[in-house]
Amino acid sequence: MRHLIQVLSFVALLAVASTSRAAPTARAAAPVARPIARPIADRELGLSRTSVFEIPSPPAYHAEESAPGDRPLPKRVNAEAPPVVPHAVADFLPITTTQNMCVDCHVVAGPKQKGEPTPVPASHFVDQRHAPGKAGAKVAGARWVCISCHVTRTDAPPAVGSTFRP
Amino acid sequence: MSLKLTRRQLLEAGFTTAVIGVAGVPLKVLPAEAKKWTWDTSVCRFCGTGCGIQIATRAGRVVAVKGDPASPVNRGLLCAKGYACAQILYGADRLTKPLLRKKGGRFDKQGDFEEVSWKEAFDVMKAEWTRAHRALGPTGVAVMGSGQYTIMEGYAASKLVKGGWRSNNLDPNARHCMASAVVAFMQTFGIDEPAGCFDDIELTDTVVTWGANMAEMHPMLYARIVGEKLRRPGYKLVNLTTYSNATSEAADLEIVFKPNTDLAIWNYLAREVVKRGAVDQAYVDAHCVFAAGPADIGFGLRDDDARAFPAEREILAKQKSIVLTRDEAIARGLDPAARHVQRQSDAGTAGRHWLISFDDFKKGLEPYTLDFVATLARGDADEPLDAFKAKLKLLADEYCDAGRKLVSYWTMGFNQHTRGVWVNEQAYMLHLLTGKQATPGSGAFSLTGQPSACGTAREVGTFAHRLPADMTVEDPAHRTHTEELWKLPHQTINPKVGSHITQMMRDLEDGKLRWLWVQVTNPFQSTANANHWIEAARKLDNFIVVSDVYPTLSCKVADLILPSAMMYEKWGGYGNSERRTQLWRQVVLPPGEARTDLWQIMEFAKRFRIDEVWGEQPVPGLAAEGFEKGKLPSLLGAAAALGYSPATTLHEVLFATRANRAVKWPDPVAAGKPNSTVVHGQLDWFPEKALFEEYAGFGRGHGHDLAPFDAYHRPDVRGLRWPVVDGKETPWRFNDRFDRYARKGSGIDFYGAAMKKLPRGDLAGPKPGEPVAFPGKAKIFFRPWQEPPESPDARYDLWLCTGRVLEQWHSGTMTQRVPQLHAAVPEALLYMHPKDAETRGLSAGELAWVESRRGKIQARVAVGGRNHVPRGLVYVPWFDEGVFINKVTLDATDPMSKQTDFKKCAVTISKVA
Repeated sequence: MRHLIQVLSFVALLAVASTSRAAPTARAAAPVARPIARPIADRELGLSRTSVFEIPSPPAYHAEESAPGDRPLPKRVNAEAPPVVPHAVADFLPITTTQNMCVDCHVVAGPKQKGEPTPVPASHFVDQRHAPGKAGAKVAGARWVCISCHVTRTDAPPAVGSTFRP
Repeated sequence: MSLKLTRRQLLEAGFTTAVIGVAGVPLKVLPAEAKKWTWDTSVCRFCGTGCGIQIATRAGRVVAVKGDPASPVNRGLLCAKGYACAQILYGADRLTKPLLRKKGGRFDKQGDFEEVSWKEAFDVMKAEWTRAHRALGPTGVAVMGSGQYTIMEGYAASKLVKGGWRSNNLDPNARHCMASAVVAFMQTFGIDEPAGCFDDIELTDTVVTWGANMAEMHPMLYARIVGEKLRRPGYKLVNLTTYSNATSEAADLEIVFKPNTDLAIWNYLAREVVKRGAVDQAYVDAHCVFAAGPADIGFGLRDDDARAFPAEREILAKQKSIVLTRDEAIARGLDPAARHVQRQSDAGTAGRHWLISFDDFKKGLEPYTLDFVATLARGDADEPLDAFKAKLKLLADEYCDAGRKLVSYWTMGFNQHTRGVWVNEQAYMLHLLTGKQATPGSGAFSLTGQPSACGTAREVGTFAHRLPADMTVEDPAHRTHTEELWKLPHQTINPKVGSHITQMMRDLEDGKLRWLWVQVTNPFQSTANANHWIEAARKLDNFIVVSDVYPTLSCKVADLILPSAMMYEKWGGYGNSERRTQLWRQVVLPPGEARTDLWQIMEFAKRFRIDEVWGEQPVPGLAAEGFEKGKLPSLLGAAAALGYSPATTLHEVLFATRANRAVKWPDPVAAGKPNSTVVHGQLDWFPEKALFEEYAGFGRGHGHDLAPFDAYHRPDVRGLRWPVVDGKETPWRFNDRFDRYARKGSGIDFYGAAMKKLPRGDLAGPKPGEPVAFPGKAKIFFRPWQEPPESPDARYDLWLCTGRVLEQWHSGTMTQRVPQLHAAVPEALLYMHPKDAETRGLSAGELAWVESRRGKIQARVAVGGRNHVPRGLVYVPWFDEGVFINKVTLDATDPMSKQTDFKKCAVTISKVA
């Protein structure tokens, strides 16, 4: 039985590897949640799946390379969580106090149009510290550094599964 | 031990879905109301910022979090990690049962892990404890704790180890995080923790970050700085760092300096302040004295090389003596052409210090001219020297401008430093000289990395030398006071300081420590020079228990793994960097057989009779007044007089006391929320509240006043900054307008009482004569710049700096299980300068060996991206179990704080063939 589970996990991992470029954060690609088998060697625990005495060769992952609008948006965790940046960002960073290419593109009137940038929501125009409840003309300063909250992505599949269900 | 629960107990503890969800703080905007979400007020799990969150539950599970708009810390925003506070509970490989290494049905250190009951787990854990204790006494056992312990957990661990086992071998991962800050606070102000608060960000004119990449490590404080910069045109940010990082992106001025030369830059600035007449003489005269200490204090390395790898020996030798470099000779005012061999004679007495005159202080600064410091400190060889000099002058302009308010922030760049205490003290030196300390908008402020490094590790005192409220085990009056509050016999507490966390690892390797319980931390990944410690853990005769929520690297080397409840599955409290104590309610149940750490501590304490631990005990090296050399006295007679029998358990003495049992569960403050510690302990009392109130007794009336437990749960409260006096918090300490402990009319009163009576002397040392008292004053230290113990050379030719990334927390065990965070930064990269990569035949994405005298690992190369390192330096984050960079790092520590310098050692990089 244990061997069967391992084989199935291996197949699942292969499936992840082959589909990861297409859908890096899709939940369907997550390895199957596996209860700890009994007995289990220490090398099978944890994220690295090696003995602590070994020196693993870290895998090669690739940063997202698509241009804005080229790929479908990944599913959001939920409405409270900031969406992941779906496209390549290397050409749009850094964000400085005088330059913010995220804002340049995403400050557009809503609602979202297919193929157009996702509009910065109204919440982002409220300075909660200095003028709570009032919509300002500009993105609030505390929200200026978009990548503090909106993470970028690579083609890495999830390290382990997640049972989180929003 | 019966773990069966009656339905009645479950109901009393609030354990039905009908009850969960009824109460909680109502939220104004409820877009998710239709989903039947219940929102409660809580705190972020991650860094020392302590952002307020709202946490949503539905049907017994956490379903969402968002920033709490009412929290003054973050005003509704969270960073990428904060938004993941819900998901971190639900990694598929949560530990839900105890796992013990077994062969043939019995514990075997070479066995594989098998699921066992809590009873079997505790049986083996206790038997192994007794075996180690019988062989070695109280110093043969230890607990490694955490700056992520809740206040109550840290307090319980301290009581068990110090009050119960009479061992001081309790030390937190916070030792690696801010021990240097603590020693500097104590030496400078005589009391721990910052004068100012986060409000300074909006009140100041200039923010200077030193070794603090706030954009990644404290993103919501950085958001406040950027927000203020965009609002106020004159607002400035200066970033001092050893490589160009994300914080530089919003900075007006970036200064890239060579590792370890921060001390020289401070002395240049102080020299400028004096030369330009920018000393605030009235402030200095009224509130400050000048001080100095010994210079040759070693590097916190092992005293001998018996267990060293051959390549390590030349570095270990520096613990005994060093040969001054030409620059070091200049900095000491010595002949740079001569050879100076300096025996490290104050390695064991690094903390002694004495008063000096202002003239002596100025004499110490004299060598730190602009020319000398700029040449020494320029960190980017490609930057013209004149440009670097111009930047240093601009920095001096900021500090010297009496018309501008200024805050200096630092984090691990200062604290993880073989001269970490000194460089912390230099920050105070400059702020005190210029009168920019303890006033709104101005101050030197130590940021902490962990959510309760302040609240638990420091305030509760889970360090090997500490007791609650800044007290120490070495002070007989502090021990007596603690014994009285804990209702323990006189001389229960061991007067000999225990092993700090790095020393515990060395003790393990030396066979002096044979039983170790690790809680809420991952030390086998996070301790420098790890090859030694994983070898010791797996191959020597010892027993290692790891309590955690996920299988970590430390679990892999453990003998027993205990499944723990996570933050929102228990009641707790954290204290952030600005003295803000924040308590939260449990909102969901832990999975499977996972148990709260507090339950684990209290339950394990049931297995100790006092006649086992309170008889006479050997403590090698113990020498204290009133104690027989090398021994702790028997307490059994005194215990009988207190009404304890030999069979009384530590659980009864330390936890289920009469006073604590009077704090009943259920309690109206619970507002219908569950309590798993109560359920699994089958209690009718409320341990988290009882222990919090008992602990608060140490600080109330002593400058560390906490509010009552219930006050922190009021719907209008988002934490309170201590001291909380007459229901009012204290935003600025030592300032008589805000701090009720500061003498009225004093303006500023540095009332901390520790180390406020010293002999007089000069830069060379103290002179004979009566010590002088200087109550109410802070010390301005002169501290010299020195070279670190290991610098790049022909064989190991690059500096290695390690640290964090925004998306991953510490060793990555929670955040790497969050799909979007893992996908964002799935592995630790080796950040290199393009030219350094090119000369080694490496390009971006290729595999490289990173090798030091201590070990080697592989990592993939990054050139550019979020970090731009100068030639000669590489940066590797430490979160990644698969890129085990602490096999490479050096376990040199600050000799006073014992905090490891993770920011600099020497490595060689080559292409993986």
